[in-house]
Amino acid sequence: MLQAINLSKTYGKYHALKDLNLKVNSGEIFCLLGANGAGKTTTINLFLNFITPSSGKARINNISVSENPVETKKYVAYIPENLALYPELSGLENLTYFTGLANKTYHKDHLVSLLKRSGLQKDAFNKRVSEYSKGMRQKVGIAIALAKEAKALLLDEPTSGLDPKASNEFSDLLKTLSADGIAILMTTHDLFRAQVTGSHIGIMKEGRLLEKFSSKKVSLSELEKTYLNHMNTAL
Amino acid sequence: MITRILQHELKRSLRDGRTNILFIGVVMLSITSIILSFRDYQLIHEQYLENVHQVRVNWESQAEKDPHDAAHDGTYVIKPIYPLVIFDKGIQAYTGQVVHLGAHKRNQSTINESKDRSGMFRFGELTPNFVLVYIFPLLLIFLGYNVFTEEKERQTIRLLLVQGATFRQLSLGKWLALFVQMFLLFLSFMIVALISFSFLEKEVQVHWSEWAGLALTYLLYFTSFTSLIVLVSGKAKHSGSSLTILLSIWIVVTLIVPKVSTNLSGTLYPFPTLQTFKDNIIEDQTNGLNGHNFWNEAAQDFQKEVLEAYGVSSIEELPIEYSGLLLAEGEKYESEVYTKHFDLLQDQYKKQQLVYRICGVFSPMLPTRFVSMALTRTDYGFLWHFEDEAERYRVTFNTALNMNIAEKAKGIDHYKAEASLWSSIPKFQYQWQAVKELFLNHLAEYLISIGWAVFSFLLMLFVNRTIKFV
Repeated sequence: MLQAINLSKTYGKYHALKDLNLKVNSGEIFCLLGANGAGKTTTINLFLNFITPSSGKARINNISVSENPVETKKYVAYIPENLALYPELSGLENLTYFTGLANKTYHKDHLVSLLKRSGLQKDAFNKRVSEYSKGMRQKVGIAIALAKEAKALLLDEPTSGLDPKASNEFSDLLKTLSADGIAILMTTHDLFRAQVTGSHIGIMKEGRLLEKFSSKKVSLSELEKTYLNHMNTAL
Repeated sequence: MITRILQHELKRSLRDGRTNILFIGVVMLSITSIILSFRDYQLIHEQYLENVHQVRVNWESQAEKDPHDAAHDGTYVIKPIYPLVIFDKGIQAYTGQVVHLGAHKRNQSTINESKDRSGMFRFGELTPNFVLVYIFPLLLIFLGYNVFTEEKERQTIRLLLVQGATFRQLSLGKWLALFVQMFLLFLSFMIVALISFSFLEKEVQVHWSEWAGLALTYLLYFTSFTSLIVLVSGKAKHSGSSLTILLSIWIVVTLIVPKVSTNLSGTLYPFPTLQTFKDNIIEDQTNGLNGHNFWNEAAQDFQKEVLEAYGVSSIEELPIEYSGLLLAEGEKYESEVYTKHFDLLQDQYKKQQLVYRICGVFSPMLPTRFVSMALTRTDYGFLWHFEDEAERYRVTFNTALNMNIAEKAKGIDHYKAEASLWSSIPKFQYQWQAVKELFLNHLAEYLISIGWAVFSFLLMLFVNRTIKFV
């Protein structure tokens, strides 16, 4: 569903991303680990066509993102670190608007059911988003993705700043979505969250994907050791 | 998609306390300005009717006297006030309201409103036109400077794009939302103006097309601002820089370009000084026909023509009083000289207008202002037209008096006309310029305004086809 083929992005002489090859199939959760500046957000931005690649291709559902940006956006949903919603509107109103932009029209009851499914408390549906916590906003983001019936979900450090309980709830939600066949690409600093949530893990450094493996094959301590080894070794 | 964006933007604006306060503020300002203007109109209109009546009473109540003495004493014509002046006072306060009509001399209008006011008047006046030309664009700027920058700062733009909206759709939706807000505000302004207008005491009917013409010119002006606002907000990185750029544009459009164009037109096509103007007229009149000069060449030629026409060889043989004929003919000639020099002034003004039109390419305010002043009859075009009409009346008025001498004074020393003569002279009836003529005269201004609205809109769509936010 999500595929990067020799994907690179340079800014002058600086390589933000270099020859990334990556594939996330339906039902998989691929967690990209790495320090700041490793190229994780650049990867997400390239899949979203927010920036254009210097070389290589990002493909969603086998369609080139840079060649068919409008078409590829039909299949993808996105939740950044701080999901920005309209604070003067309620969670339900935000969901209605963003769903409408994706050319989906649902009855209010269905949208309410999506908010319930994303785990947002019922009494928050009609409250202004300005009163929401970050975790609540992320849940609205999930509801937006559900309403869009996206086949792929791009998450840029979505659990950063969430308390452990909220992070755990979020992980469970992602697992439910992947079980429904959604391909998920998530960037994170959190090794524990990556190991618990992801089906696959990749470690990035200075724009390169150094290693990728199945999360089932490594324990948290092995993951930590591998990660630190990479971080402490000069490229 | 665009309808959804439009509805969303309007809903957000409605919930934004800042928008509501701005709206209420501008509505209050609009209502106040219209009420003040309404009161001013009523006052000036009452004075106008009273003065017209008094001038006529004074004229008709003259005792028996030499008609030419009466011509020298003269009378006055009062500049009428058009009901649409409640919309735009233009240059009315700075131009004269009264023209003295006397023998041999064309006078310009005198006694202007500004001289009757205190110096504090120069601090500015709250008029409907001021609200529309200066305040409305400011309101639009404050409503729309962050239509895009806020999305960039909050990062909601990312989600909008991921959900499938394009920059062009977003630009169009946001433009429409801003336009709708402006339109509703302008509509409420027009409704208040129309209600006030219906209560005015009017001497003349205003055609609906004049209202439509006014509404169109202001809508085009606001449309240009709306497009510029969405364009700048799309390109600016931050709301602060967007606001700064837009306020700079407002200063250039409403203050700098109009001021520069006034100076430029005056420098390129200056009016002569009053002294030069008078000297030029005197020079032309010196060798021409003069009702009091029987001996110069022109008078001799005229005398020859009259004698030939009547088939006599001397003035004494004429069946009519020759001095009356000479006065009437002299008046016509003097008026022609005045007309020639006033036409030169008007030609110079037309050249100045060309400069204003060219400068209108840099400021949509200029064409808007000129159309507005023309339709409300508060511009130089109206002043010239009124003074020309007054001059035509002066010639008719003097000719009637002088011909009375020619017809009745033959053989009478110190002829005095009967008092009934004064009331037989027709009253001055000002004929307002036809609406069609006004529209045609200002077609260029409309075209420039339309050009501004269309170009700024297309430019916004073109420039905002991509917006940098990462």
